[in-house]
Amino acid sequence: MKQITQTGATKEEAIALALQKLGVSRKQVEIEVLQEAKKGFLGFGARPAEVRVTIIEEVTEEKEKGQEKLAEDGTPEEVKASIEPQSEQSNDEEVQEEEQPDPIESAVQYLTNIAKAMDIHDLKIETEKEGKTILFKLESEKAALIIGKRGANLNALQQLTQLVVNKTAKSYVTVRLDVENYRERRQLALEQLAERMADKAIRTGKKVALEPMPSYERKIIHNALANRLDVETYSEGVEPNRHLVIEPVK
Amino acid sequence: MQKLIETIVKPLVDYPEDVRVEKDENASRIVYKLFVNPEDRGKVIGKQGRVAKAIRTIVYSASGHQKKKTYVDILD
Repeated sequence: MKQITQTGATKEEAIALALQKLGVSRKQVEIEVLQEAKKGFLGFGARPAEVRVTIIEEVTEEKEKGQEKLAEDGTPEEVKASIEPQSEQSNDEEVQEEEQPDPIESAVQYLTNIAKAMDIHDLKIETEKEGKTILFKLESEKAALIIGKRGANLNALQQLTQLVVNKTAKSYVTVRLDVENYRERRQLALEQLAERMADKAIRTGKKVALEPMPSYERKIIHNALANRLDVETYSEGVEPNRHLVIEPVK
Repeated sequence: MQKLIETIVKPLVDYPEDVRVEKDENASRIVYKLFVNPEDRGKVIGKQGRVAKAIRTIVYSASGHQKKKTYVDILD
């Protein structure tokens, strides 16, 4: 069963892009909306829509109806038309990339070699390409060693892999590493932390400074608290010691 | 450990054949001296020492079981 996750400015755009990538029609897939698009305020708190599209082998009548219903309330024809030429371009790019020494392959080799030198011999790597982002999903018995304290090793490896990939890749790509869903768990943990710290700031009436975090982890917290009107969030300090501050609004 | 540092650094640089790691050990600490081609020095240090920091993070965690303090120095 093939499945991809796709983001887009709107739900419809994300679905149309995903169908293009998979090369199937809407009736052959099941669509799950992971996240509706949000416009946000002054570009803050804006989120793209995210959909998960799964190819189903047999189309049952029920699902077909469901998909048609989705099509009805969703996609105006112009949206599809405006997206198609773009997607064809990106297909062409992919074909050209395959002729060159594969950057993804070299990155997998790089990670495997490092793991071996760190005494990890059971590393399994799956890759997913999504636009300009390549996601490497790692699996190993020694996941803790790969992740490190608060993801320090994982982030270091991610950075190094990104450099290796961009040394061979033709266009600039972003590399994301994940070990056994660590990123997802971390996001949940950070969102909970954000709520807790915001409550603390309100309770004490003082600002609460968090420990230094990389930019995308700060972003998770900014986003988590964007809807709360009783606190303000901003970042202080210079990388790599930049940290987030939560301040109660008086 | 020397092998780990070489494995990390070689694919990052333009002159992998010039990469050399020397181990300098005394009673209280182990220093790994990383030699690269002068042209590659910027690449292994990175903007604001970012790459050097990433290399150190991984080396320190891999050598965390030893009692001695470990260092990675970049030289040319």
